[in-house]
Amino acid sequence: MKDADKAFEDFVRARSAALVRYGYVLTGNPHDAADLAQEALARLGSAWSRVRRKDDPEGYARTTMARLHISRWRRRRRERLSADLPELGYTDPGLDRAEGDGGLWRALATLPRRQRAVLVLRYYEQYTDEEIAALLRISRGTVRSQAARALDKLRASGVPAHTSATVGKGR
Amino acid sequence: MMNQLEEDLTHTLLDAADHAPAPDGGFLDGVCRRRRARRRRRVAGVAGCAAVLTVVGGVAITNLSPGSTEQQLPFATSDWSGTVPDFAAADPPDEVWPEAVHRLPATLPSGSGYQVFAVLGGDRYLVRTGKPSASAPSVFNAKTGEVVFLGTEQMRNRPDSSSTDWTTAVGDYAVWFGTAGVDNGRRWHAEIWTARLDGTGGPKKIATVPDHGHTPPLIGVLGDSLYWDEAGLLGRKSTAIYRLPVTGGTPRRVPDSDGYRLFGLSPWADTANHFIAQDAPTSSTGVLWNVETGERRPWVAHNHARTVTCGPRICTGTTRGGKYFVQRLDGTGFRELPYPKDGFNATPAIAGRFSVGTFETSRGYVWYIWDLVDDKVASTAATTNGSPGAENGTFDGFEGSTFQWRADDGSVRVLDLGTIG
Repeated sequence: MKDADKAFEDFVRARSAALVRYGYVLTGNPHDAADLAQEALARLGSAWSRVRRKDDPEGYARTTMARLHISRWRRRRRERLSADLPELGYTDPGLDRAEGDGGLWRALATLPRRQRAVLVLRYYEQYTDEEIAALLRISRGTVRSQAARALDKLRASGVPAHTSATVGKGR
Repeated sequence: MMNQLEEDLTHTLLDAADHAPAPDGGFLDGVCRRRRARRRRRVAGVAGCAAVLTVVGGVAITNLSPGSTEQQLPFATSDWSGTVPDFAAADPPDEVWPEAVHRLPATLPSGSGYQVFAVLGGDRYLVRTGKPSASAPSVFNAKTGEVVFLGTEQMRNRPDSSSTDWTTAVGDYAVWFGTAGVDNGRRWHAEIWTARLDGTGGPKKIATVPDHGHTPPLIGVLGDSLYWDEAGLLGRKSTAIYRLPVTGGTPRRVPDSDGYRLFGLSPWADTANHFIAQDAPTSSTGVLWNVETGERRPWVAHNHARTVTCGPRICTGTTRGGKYFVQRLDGTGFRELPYPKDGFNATPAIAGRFSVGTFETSRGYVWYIWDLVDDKVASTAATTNGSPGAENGTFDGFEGSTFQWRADDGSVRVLDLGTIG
């Protein structure tokens, strides 16, 4: 095996769990999470030499996952016209634990993918709105509006929000 | 500032990630199949993932196993519960582990203070004495009051070069190292010395590690052997780990040790450098290697980590937000501690079972000793001078095996972490 292939496989072994976790919060579904992580890693593998020289293969994989996730959302919206069932009813063993949040995890599943991705990038990855904008190739204003709409929907869904609305984080 | 919903959202996402199903052993195969499929589509012929894998057409979804355990991953199973105790509310060590605490006189019979490095049994203790410290240790018999100095007379008077900062007992021997200046102090060698604990035979220099700078290398213990790496604390890349019997001989290069560094927790080494400038970003991944058994434990930093170092049980570090945190080696169990990064520190001890350090309170610094396996914690009274130091405790001994403090009556208390069952 070539050194580059071994290095790539070592990277996959070391980071697959973290990337699947990231995929899980992006998609809310363990199978989609693995699907997303594998696809992003396969693309990373194809670009391994170039990406590795830049010394940020994980950033490449995560960015690919976020963009893939949204592009799939666009594609699946079309697919739903042909009766593709939404995945809102899925449950998994991790859901019970996450349900200790008063339904927030389940409410996240009702969000459009781009809105959800913006929230994940902002509150899980802790990116600034500018970073999110660059990553998703959208404007900062779109990031803020998507986040605001998403938060409004979460509040409207009846999850126990305790304080008044906030739009953006002033970052 | 986040509002409550945003805070809840952050915690919900982190918790969900912690409990996400783990990828199973077929995950890598699935990635490789996708790479081949992409390559076929692009009609390109670069070699891909391991050739031993069977090529399977199509884009398979790898089997995920909801609820699967960490044993299926390359990560080691953690025996840390994931909870962080309230350090500030802990009882003192002699109430938490009374059976492991030794009560000793305030001074040696000579009136000199002392620092215990190892509990030898039979009321005997391996100690450092003198101010400044002698450059060889002594054995103190607390029952008889006898003190046997293990070095030469020259060492007793502390020549300019040596110290007993690192001392331990290995079998029937005391082992310590010092640094020796050569070329009028332009270069420094590390020297490893041994002496029988009964004081017979005199000290013996068993190894010199040349050109190691002013800071001696970290030395580990494997059975009756010592080992060290070539990187030490100087930030150099480790090219090998060496092993030497405590009785002396020729240092032997440990096979497959290239790239691993010791970090002060025998018998483990790490691919990451634990000794870099404070606040400098650290590696986000690494592999711990048990030099004795060959076991490898990969670790990954949580997304929020800015700096991280890992022992065989947990990782600790600082977040981008400047908080101290702990996590498991696989990145799960991420918990921020309620202390700023400058107000807290943690050092692993006894194969990573314990984490020992200080935290800052309004009354001064407090030492804590945290047993990760039994979920117990002890802490000392706060200092009054506002800085951590010997006033309310010292954490010493080989790789942090002893914690020493003074009781209210001035007598010495020593917690022997290695004997906590």
